[in-house]
Order: sequence, then structure tokens, then C-alpha cells
Amino acid sequence: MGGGATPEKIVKAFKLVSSDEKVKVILVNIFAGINRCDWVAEGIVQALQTIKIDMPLIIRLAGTNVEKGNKILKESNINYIEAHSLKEAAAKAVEALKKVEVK
Amino acid sequence: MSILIDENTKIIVQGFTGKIGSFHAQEMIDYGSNVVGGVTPGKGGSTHLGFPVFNTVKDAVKETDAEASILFVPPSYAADSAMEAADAGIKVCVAITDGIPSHDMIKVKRYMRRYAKSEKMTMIGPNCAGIISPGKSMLGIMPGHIYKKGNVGIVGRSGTLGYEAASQMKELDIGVSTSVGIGGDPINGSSFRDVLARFEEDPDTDIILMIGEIGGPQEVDAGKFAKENMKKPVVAYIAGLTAPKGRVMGHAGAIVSAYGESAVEKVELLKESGVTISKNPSVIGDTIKSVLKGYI
Repeated sequence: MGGGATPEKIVKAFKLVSSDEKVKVILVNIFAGINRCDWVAEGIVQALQTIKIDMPLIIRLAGTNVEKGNKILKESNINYIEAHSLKEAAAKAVEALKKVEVK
Repeated sequence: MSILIDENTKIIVQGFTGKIGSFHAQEMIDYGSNVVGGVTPGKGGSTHLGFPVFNTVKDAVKETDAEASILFVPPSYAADSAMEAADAGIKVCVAITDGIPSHDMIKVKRYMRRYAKSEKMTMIGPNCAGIISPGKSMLGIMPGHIYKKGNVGIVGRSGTLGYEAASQMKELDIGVSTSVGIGGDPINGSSFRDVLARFEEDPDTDIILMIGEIGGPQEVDAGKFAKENMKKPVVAYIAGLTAPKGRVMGHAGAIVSAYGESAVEKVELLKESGVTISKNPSVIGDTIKSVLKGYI
């Protein structure tokens, strides 16, 4: 996402990633420095209101304003899998992919 | 000790009153960094966040004896600000700004050649996370609470991967002497090799973690330097093992254009130099832990 991710940028990123039909699972991993987790979370929520994503979404937030970010995600009604470390996020993404492939 | 900055380093913020400058200046003040003022041309004489604002770096240095600065200046003016800092006698300048034209950075590098080595400003970045000496001072935009004070030196291009490494290390009760982000641009102020040389001299650093990526010769150069000139062990993670050739991957400098610039080649060449490789980003902490065990 790069530094200073605005909600518009996040919408665009989701559109790009989901337009590739090979993509079965989306993993969002943010360790915010100049970014802020609350901005990213707001962006994700807005993105999912704009476009329909019908695949598993794993989100791992860490760094600047992480509590605010996780709160925004939890209080929205978006469907996602929460992860706290990079290892956990990767494991959950692989697990979600296996479930998709079984279907 | 630590490298580049400590609790006594007097800091000014260039681009002090802007939105991003204000936010991160406040974070640095809250962390305990010795911020003494800032520069925004045209706003000299006013006060911001409780500190004096100056029109020029020269005025700021004269009044505050500042020795370090951090740049939150937009890309089109950032090179001028860096040269202004060098001219005013600033010793360490961190450029956070992303998007400084390469041509401008060439100008900055050439400008710096006019100074004797002892007088020359050390520039870190641009397009970087800055420097933190945990528990002492933060001259950057990293989340300060993820760093534990300790004996591992970190140098990396990517801010995020640096944070990832520091937080994994903290989980394992391993601390950091200083962490330096040299940035993701193709032309930067300080190289991996420059920073490794400083860590080798620092009595508080026992081992060094280098976080590199695809593109450019700096990681491999640093590996050769480590083999020939360093006693301290170096651990490295190189991002971009699956990156295709010829495509810019996020950072302007992250593009494979010649032999030795892909992640696979860098890993091979670094191994030949005796550097321990962390094979993926989620085991950086574990890799450091195993090397520390063998060393101390």
C-alpha cells in the first residue's frame, strides 16, 4: 500500500487485486509507520462498501494506531478473518485457501 | 552507546508545521527525543507544539545548536532542504520524503562533495523510516513502542519489514541498539555498507540484521565489506524471492536489471560472504535468536 494510504488508494488496490481471477484469497498485512491503522481500516471498510469481494479476507494490522484500526474493523459489519502476527496471517490465508479449493 | 543519535542529540524538524510533520514531530517528542524546534520558511518567530519555528536551518542551528534534522518537506523542495541542512552544519539528516526525483538526489550527492569528511553531513534516506536508538531517541516515523533496547543493530530499506523484525525480536525478548532505515530509492544518502561500518565500531551492538530487497548492488557490496572488515556476525533477509525481472516492486529502487540484483542471487552471494540468511519474513526474530546463542 505504501505510506499515506488513503481510502481511495485502498479501494483501487482491492479492485486491482480482485480483478485477477487467479486470486482466491486476499491477505492484507499492514505494519503502520507513516501510515495509520485507523486510516487503513477506514479504507478497507469503504472499499468493501464500494466493491463486492466474495473471497476470504485476512487482515493483520500492527503499528501506529493499531487499537483504533482493529476497533473500526470490528464495529463495521465486514466479513474478515483477524490475525495478529505475520506468521498467523500467512497460516490463516493458507487455511482459507484450502477451504476454497475443497469447495 | 548507539549509532548516529542518542538522548542528547538536539533535533530540528524541517517541514515542522505541515500535517505529516506535526504528527510525527509530536510522536518523536512523546517518545522522548530531544526536539528543540523546527523550520518552516515564512513562519519564523512563531511557536508550534511548544517549540520555536525558524525560517531557515541556519537560524535554527544558531539559536538551538541543533545537530540533527528530519525532513518532511514535499518532494520538489526536499533536495534543497537537505543541502540547506548540510550548509547550516547539521550532522545527521533523515529524509522521510518519498518521490524526490533521482536527478535531485544526484545534485545533493554532488553538493556534499564540497565538505571535508569531518564536516560532512550524514544523510539517511530518502523514502525511509528514519533512525531509532530505543529508549534514547527517535528521529523517524516508526511506531516507537515496538522496539526494545538491546544489542542488535538493524539496517534496512523497507520501513515495514524493519518494524516486523523489531516486533518479532521484542516478542523473543531481544532488543535493538539502533535501527536505521536507509530507504527504498535507487540513490540514497547512506548505503548498507556505510551503516554496517558504524555498527562494527559501536560497542553496544553485537550483531547486525540487514534487511534488503531486489535491485541495486548495495546488499552484495555490504556482504563483501562484512566478510573483509567485520568481526560481528551479520544476519540478512532479502525481500522479493518471487519478483519478476524488470518490474518495479513498490520501491523505486526495487527493480532487477542486472546480474546479482535478484533476491535469489543476492541470497547466494551473501551466503558466500558468510552472512546468515533468514529465509522468510516471519522467522527473522528466530534467526537472530539462533545466531545470538552461538555468538554470546
